[in-house]
Amino acid sequence: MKEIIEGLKKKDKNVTDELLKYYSPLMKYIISPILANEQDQEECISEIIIKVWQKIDSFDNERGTFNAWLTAVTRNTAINYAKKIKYHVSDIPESMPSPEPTPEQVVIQKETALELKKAINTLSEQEKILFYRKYYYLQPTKQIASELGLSERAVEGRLYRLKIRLRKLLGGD
Amino acid sequence: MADWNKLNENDFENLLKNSLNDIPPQNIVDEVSPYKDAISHIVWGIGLTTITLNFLLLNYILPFIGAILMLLGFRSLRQENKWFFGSYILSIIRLIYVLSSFILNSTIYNEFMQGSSFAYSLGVFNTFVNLMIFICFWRALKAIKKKSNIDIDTGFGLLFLYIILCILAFLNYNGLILGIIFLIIYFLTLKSLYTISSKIENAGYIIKTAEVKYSNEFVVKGILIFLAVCTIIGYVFFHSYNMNWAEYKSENKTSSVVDLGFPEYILKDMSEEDIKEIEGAKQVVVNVDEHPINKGRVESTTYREDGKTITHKQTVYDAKELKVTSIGVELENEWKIIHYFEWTHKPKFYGTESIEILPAYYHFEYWALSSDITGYVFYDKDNTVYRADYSSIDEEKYKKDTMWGVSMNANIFARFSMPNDGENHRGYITYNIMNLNPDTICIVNSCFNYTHQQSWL
Repeated sequence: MKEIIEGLKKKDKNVTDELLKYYSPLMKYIISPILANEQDQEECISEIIIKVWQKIDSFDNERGTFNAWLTAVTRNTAINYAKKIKYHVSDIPESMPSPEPTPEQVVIQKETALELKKAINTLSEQEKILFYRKYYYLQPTKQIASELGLSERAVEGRLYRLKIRLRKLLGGD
Repeated sequence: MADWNKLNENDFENLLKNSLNDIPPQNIVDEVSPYKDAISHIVWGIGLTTITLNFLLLNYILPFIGAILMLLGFRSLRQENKWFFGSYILSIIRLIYVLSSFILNSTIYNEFMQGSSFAYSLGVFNTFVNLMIFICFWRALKAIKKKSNIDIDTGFGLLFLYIILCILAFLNYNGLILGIIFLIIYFLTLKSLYTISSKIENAGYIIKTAEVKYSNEFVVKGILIFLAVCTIIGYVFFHSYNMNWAEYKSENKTSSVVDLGFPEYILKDMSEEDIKEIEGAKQVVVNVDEHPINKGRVESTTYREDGKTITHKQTVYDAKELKVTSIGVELENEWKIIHYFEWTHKPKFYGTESIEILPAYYHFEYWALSSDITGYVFYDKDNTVYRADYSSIDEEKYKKDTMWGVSMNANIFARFSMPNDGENHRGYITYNIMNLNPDTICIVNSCFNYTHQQSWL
């Protein structure tokens, strides 16, 4: 992994094959709940490789591991790609989820995200994992259930109770 | 800030999704995967079933937990490839074997299993199933490696270690060196399991987990309930031997052997045939031992000697519950051996009892068995004496390796159950021996061992 990161930072083109080899399973895992079509998945992966190549200098070891950083890049690229297909809009920077918000909207979004982060931190470890699987990784209930060894009904029930709890924590009824 | 109250379900969900664009926490990235839980279950399961710790019932508990974990792990991965599916089926078989052992242990039938050829075959089968699980797991990880094109530890080292263990066990090699080898193998096995778990990493993301109708929690609870119910049924209905208790008319019996020192308290319980046999005996040799079943109490005595304070501790038994009277009656050309036991204090629990006798003809060189081995058990209740045959009295012959070569030996085993009610629980076993070398002075040595079940466990 170190060699791949160093190669990317040195802009060594040979490293992209290694990147694809070692990380395509992870990328596909993150992309597949967002993009059902396999061809779209392949094209999205190509876009991700480009993004990684372009944005590698923004990877900071102290903020998280390469896997975590790549997860964020992959997830946001896949969401943007899905929106592109749906709305036929041109490329949107992966840090911005939608048509470019106004400065006021950006502030609101940041505050909302901060509030939500505080609320998420009060959840138990298992609840956090469930939450991120559903709302970050955008995994369907079926996938969450099979990977956690739960029935679909059990997952739905837990997610329902989680949402009610989050609403309460965020000041809702 | 968002007004959370005004948001409907859809808007709320969209807001949740759109507010999480940052890098996720590391623990989330580590945990969210298709394989982590499943592989962790499998690795822990293999570890717990491989390690044997013979204290606090861990030699039962750990393999049981291990079998369940393996089942849960392979269940999740059963659809990934045929090797994981095969491992899943084998883990079910293994769990059935472990559950059966537990349930059988709560019944008297476990005794018949131990040492029998059927038990040996089951043990071999269990080892074979374990070996097949290791092989299937290795092939399954190999398939993952091929599918992902990423180099991972496929667990061949683990398989290799297990094969060595099997070979060593099959060779029945004993010794300190073996203990050290086993320790090294266990350590290497645990290390190998950890390596598999940590090295699968990115390759594991291609694994597809299978849908489950019943959650892992439901399955575990179901297994525990099933085990509890079957164990309770085993204890309640099958924990003691079926004894043919019948009222016994214990008349006053007399015999001339009493004058030779034969204990009169034993005569009343002996059958007419046995009493007739010992009439006119040449001599009677009696040995009485009293054995405690309770743990006693520790008594300390302190005294001074040569300027030093010395504390001497000893265990004192206020009651020695089991009284064993062993009698040798010399007849015309034979000796009649009688082992009589009596509970002088009623123990707290009666379950399955067994007697093992190393008979006087143990070595087959000086003495030979010259009669059937017979006996009865008794108890009193409401001034009535009840008598029953032993559930079984068997003679087991076996070969024994000694420094003088292979010798043929024989033990007598008697099995029975006493009722919890009543008092004066007692019984006797008797057999005759004849001297193979009448011109030689031979020692008559018959050893009596009594095994008493002290509790439900």
